[in-house]
Amino acid sequence: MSILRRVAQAIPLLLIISILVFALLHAAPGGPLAIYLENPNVRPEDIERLKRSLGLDRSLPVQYMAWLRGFVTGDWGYSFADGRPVLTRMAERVPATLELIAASLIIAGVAAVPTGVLAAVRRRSMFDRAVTTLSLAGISLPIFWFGLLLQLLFAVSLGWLPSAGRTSMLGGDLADRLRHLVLPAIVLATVHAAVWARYLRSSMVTVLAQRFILAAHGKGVPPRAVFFRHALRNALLPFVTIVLLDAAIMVSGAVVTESVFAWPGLGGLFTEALARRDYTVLMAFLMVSSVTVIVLNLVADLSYRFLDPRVRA
Amino acid sequence: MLLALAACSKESNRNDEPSNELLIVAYDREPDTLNRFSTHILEDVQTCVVEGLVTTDENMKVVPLLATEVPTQDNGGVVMRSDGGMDVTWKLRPGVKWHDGVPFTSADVKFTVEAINSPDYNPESTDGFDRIVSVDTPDSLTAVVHYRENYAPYDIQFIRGTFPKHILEGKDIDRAIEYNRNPLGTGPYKVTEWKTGEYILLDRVPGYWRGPDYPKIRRILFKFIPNTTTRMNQLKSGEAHLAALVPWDKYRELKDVPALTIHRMMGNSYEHITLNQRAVPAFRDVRVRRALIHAIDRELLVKTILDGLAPVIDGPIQPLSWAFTDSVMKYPYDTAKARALLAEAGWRDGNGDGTLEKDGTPLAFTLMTQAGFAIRESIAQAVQRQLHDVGVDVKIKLVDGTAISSLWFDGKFDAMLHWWHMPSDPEITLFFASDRTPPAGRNINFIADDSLDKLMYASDKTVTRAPRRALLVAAQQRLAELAPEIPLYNVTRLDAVPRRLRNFKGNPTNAGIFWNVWEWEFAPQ
Repeated sequence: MSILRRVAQAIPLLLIISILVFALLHAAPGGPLAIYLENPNVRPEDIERLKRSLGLDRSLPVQYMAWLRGFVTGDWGYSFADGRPVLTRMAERVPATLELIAASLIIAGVAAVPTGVLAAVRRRSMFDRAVTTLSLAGISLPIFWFGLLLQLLFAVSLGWLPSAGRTSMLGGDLADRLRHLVLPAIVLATVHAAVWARYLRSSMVTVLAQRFILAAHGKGVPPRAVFFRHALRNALLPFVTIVLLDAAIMVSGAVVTESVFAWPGLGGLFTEALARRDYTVLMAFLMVSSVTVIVLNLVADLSYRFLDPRVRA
Repeated sequence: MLLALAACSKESNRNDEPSNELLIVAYDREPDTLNRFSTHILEDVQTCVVEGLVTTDENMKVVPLLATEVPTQDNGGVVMRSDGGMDVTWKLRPGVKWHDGVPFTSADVKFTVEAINSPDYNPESTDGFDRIVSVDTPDSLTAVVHYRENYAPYDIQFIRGTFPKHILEGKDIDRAIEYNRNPLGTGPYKVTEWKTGEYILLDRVPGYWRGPDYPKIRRILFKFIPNTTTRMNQLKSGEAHLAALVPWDKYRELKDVPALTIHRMMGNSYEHITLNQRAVPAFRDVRVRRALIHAIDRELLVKTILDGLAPVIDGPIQPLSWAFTDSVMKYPYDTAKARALLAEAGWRDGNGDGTLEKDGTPLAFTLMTQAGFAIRESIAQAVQRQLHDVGVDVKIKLVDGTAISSLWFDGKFDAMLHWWHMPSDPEITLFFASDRTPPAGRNINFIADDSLDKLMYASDKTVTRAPRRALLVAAQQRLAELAPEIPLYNVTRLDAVPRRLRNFKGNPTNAGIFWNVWEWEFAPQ
């Protein structure tokens, strides 16, 4: 029942987002036809003709209503750039984005969980201080700079890994795909791993200071069991929310990483569409991103009910 | 773990040496379509697949491709009619076939004209085609194109090629996705695979009309790498072998890469500062405009910021063009002369703040240019500094590439640092005629001069080259006197190509560097 209520609440929110996004996109200077102005062979009558053919000669409310009607009924229109259906353009980019996000989440998780836990257990040790310093560095790193730095090191200097792309040619085999995935996944994972490690450390420190941990120690439970069975399980609860929200943000937030590494995902499509003011693609992308954030927020809330008996009660 | 896996892998990314088997091109964008009439520029991938009746060579000369010769009045291919129109006869090369084996004929030429002029199709531009009344096809290898008026650039009318009638007749070309993604051509290559967001792979076509020895290179892979630094890294690591239009500020990075040669040639574009007379009243005084040019040390800008890679120019028609003349009024760097001209025009620093004024109005304007274009940002700052030295206050405004187009089109700027890519035909009417201000054209200086208008329009109607050149020379001289804009430098092309690649010639026009790809080949190692 509460799930249905949450879904119902999301609908007006999405409607408001769509109006805002539509208005902002059309308020930005330039438009889908701006690119043609540089070509001296394209004359004013050509611009007017192209405008009519794309439906851009209609008033904004009429354009919005037409878009909304289509979006709701599954007709997301055609890309202004290449004339193909928007759904097709989005769908062919999804696998690359999911692949990159999944790899980044795994790398970030594998890096963040043990370091965060160990830093909390060995609070104020050299290790803890090193983790704090590295986390701050990871959070502060400009992604594009870090990406280019890794390219120079691993692709240009050492020649170990490809500097960009998803495959070499004609699809590539599994090893080829993994080699292409390494650098963008590490770059995307770095910031998240840094934040997660800091978050998990803080969460663990809070849990370790609670009385039930003292009681567990008092009962003679071995320290390892206290840390992993009692402390970590509790500390991981808020961590799950962070991971899910970060995953949602990654769908739209991998734009810089995808651009640096020429990764053929949704982020690259967004950059391309933004430069062309490809309204139909931009609207679809931004709505899909919004829905993803809302859905994963809902999943995060619901996951508490299953993970934490107190919430369920 | 992944890193270890990759590091342990015996494979390296340096295993694709350029050879006649495979050439990898680092390409700065993914084409929107491969339909040459629907895209906003003449793209390189299309050039390899679809051929025009003519193309332009490395000297910007129009040369025949699918036509046996370029029609002229001398060879009888162009006939001026008494009603003011003209007829152009195209003789097609015999034995040319589309990639599916169907012969290429004059019916394809006729179909192309009709398709472009049809209200059912939305090409990027109908310029020139809309002056065609009809096309006659007396035989399969002759197309006679009837124009309703004289049209000087008739020779490049079919530079983008033709549509295959047998494939597209009766189809909605705007939505002919299959053709637009994999066009049928007569060129040396065909599209084997287009992996969206990643690459386009071209394979050699068997039975190319030039004979079994062509093209020499079996496969060409166009990788889409929009990020400039990444593209340069691909060249340095050997993952890509060739990149066109290397930015000038990357020249030093690439010039010592052993596998590469940086091919440098003059372009058919010029960088300049447009002075919007409609927005800034001071620009309406020719003395002010001349003073601004005198105040900028263009040689210094080119030597320092551009590493000496591009020459200073004095007008819109570039030295490569047959219509170019160097005998125009020049404005060398001379701050004393600049100050004198401004004083003569009534501009004085009355309040001693360093900026000149006239009737209480300071001599100030905003210089708009494209954000993220490092060279332009540097040039804008240098210009700001040099004009400050003669008492002109300049503010810089950086705008993203898409937004800037609509701003200048609407005339919403004071001055703009940018370039025009000039067509291979030296028509300049569009940029300087008084009735070609937006939306009717690109006269965004808002210059209006009767004598200039007459010269330019007369040249557009003159098909014979010698008298047309005389008119264009006079137009360039008048333009230099009027000094409607600040000409800076020629947009010189830098193309990074494999050192062992033979027969690479480059191209200054938007025909692109692949115009002669059929004859490219690699020297043995």
